Amino acid sequence: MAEKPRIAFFDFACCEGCQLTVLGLGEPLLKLLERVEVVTWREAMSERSDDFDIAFVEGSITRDSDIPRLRRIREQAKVLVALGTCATLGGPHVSANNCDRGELLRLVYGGEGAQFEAGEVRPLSAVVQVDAFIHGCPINGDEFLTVANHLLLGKAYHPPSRPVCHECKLNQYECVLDRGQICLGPVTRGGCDAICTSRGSQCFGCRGLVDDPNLNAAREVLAEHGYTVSDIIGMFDIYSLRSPAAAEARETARQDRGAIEKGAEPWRSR
Amino acid sequence: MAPSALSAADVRSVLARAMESTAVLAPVRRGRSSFAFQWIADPAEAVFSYPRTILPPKQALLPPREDLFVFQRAPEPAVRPPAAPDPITLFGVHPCDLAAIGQLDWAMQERHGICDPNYAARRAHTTIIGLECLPDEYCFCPSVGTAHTRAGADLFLTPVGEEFVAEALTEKGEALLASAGEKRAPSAEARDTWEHWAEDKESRVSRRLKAQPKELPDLLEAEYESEVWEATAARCYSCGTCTSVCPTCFCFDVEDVVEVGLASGARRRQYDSCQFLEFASVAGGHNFRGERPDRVRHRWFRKFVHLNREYGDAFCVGCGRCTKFCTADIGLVEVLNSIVEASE
Amino acid sequence: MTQTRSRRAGPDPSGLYLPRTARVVRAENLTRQDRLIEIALPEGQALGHRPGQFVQVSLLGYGEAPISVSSGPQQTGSFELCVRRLGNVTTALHALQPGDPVGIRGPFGNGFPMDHLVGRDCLVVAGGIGLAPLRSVIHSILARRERYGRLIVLHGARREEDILFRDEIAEWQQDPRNEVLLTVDEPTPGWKGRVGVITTLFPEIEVDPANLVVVAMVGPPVMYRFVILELRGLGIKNDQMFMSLERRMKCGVGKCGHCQIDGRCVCVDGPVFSGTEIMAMHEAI
Repeated sequence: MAEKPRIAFFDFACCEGCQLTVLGLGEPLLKLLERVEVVTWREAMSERSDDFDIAFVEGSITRDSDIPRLRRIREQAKVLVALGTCATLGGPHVSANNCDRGELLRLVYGGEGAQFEAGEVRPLSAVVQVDAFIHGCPINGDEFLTVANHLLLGKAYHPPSRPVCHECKLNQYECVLDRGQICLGPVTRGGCDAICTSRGSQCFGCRGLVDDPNLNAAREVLAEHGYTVSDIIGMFDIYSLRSPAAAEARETARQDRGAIEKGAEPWRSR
Repeated sequence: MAPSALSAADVRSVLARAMESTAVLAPVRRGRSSFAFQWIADPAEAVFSYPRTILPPKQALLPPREDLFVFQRAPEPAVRPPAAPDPITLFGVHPCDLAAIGQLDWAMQERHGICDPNYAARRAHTTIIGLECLPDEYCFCPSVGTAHTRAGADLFLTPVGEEFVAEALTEKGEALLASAGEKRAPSAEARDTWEHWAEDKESRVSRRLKAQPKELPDLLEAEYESEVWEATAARCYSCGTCTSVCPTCFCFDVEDVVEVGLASGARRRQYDSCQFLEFASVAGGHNFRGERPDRVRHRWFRKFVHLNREYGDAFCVGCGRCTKFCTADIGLVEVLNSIVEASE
Repeated sequence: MTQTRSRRAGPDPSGLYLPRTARVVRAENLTRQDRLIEIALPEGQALGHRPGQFVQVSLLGYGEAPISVSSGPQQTGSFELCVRRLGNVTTALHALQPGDPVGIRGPFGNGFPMDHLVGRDCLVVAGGIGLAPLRSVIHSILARRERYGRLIVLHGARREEDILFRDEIAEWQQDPRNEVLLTVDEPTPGWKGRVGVITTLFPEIEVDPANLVVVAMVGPPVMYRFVILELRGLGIKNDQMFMSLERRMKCGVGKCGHCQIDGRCVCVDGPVFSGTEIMAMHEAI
């Protein structure tokens, strides 16, 4: 058998919940470990190595001082995977970009706020080339395994552009709008198997918008269901779906499949 | 065969009989006000009266996700067909959904003279118990001639008061009926209700198509450039709900899925939708329906022009699901009628 | 011309979706993105295809892609595919080496009307990878050269290095009954041929439209429109043009719905359509 690819996990501004999802995969993770060698994973092990092939990077970039570190990871990694919505689209904290930074720091940290470095919140693709995107807050563990399989086979991974509604209907969940709740399922990228709507919750759009969202329809239809403009905007702003940064990141994710499409099993060149 | 009378308890014993030798898919309650077909573990779970389910019974014959075959990659590549499907019974299938199964049978088993083996294997081991219904505001079965369909059912039940009038339409249906014990004739009153069901049902339908299905191909072709498509697309999310819940849609995508160890996997098909952006894109990058109005028009043309001409009838059974479950409240009949009106 | 309408769905209907495990006999790069793969079916089975038909080629774990057969039906014991690297399946196909297994379903589709070509001149219009299926037509003509009239091949590529089958083209040109005209979009130093899209070649040929059949595959829809205009300018009627259309055939057997153009399925009713059929459809080109 060919040499096992060496895997590393890193994180920037995030809750580390996506790595926790990977850690919680159980048996499939053990099976995956027969195929790969994890060399760095702060959340899971004490050993670490800077010699790795595939980097899974969670979190968004919020400080200029993060940039050299991310670039070093990019330089070393043959394949860089953005893990979770913070990494792929910026995450919920993109909303901080709409606030005055100084005021925000005062609000959160009081008088000590000034000592913290806090800049514009950006997805990884705003700083380096990303080869695969795993959206979700948190990610779907099954999708992580699918992406891992794709990488091991040398396949490019294209996140589905089908909306959450599609998966919700295939699971025969009662429509959230019919339950009297606001829902972003029609414009949100699926791949989560509609996990939120399965548990009586609504879709908050954590995986970002589909490739061709009809936002005018969303406004019109939600208004007809009795929701006000501020209800609708509030819902869209949880994951900053309206922000230019998210739109740019979405477009980058659609266009940029990076190294993987350039050749199968890139780490074999070692 | 003369109809016979069954009590609700009799129907449950028919279901219990069916469950002895087959898996049974039956309508059950889902959420606050919805219904869904589900594989039941107890005859008591099945409901006898429901407006429509989220997914049609199509899910048992053409499942949302299905392995076309399974394979191993190592040590030597090998493929083998999926295991033979278990026999199934579909309970509580409304006349429109019976008609839809007939249309799917044509599409999957006869169209182009090519038979889909996976569909055919499931279909061959399917028993169907039909159930008569009364329409709600989304139904338009009389407009597409499916309101009184019996074909496809082995046993057909009409709820009359507290009882059911049962018609065995095949030997399988006869055997199921026999499991309910001694046959008894329906009361004169029940028989009267049963005989007048069709006209009562027709009279309750408010949603009407303003043209005959056979007229639609030419009417729609003449309105290929109609602004109706643009206007409908302005509201459409392209979420694919209409095609997922449609009992006659059968488009699918195919992809390989592999186990974590990479040693084995399956070539899997899953429902696809002509409403999705990528549906008509090709490897070179061109998208033949990259604009939303093109995709919207395609859905109406597929059902009411192209397959209508090829099959000889509208590829729609009037179940109302696409309209009821549309996330943007787009009405299928309303769109058709606006085309009909534009052409007048 | 109706003889070309095949409804065949493979030898075993119960195995409609099951590929046959074939073996790679030979594989060589033709250009930086195109690889010629010669394949033999198990136990010496013949593919039995007609020029213009396609097969579904698959690698387990990667999926399936529809690819036109590039060799002529006269070739026995094996057939050839010219594979352009575009997605996951074709990238994986490019890694195949002699002896490797590869899944084959088909052949599918109708193919070009070869009987209609007998006794007539043939104009082949091939844009880029479009030469792959048309090479099958050319091989058929060359195998029984005396049955056919003139053979005129127009081939356009992006750059000189992207021209497919260059050695063969030189051989085709040995026979005075054959003419090959080449053009590139981006000339490199030393290129002596024509420059521009494929339509720039039309003014250079003389044809007898009454005795000519056109077979074409030219790339994006807009190129088909331009080519049809040029052909009309030469006095060629729509029913003498036969064009292979590209769609994303997922199943190859008229079920999955992806390749529908108006009321037609490209995988069973096509991929070859006459100019008359194409002009009668809204969505063809």
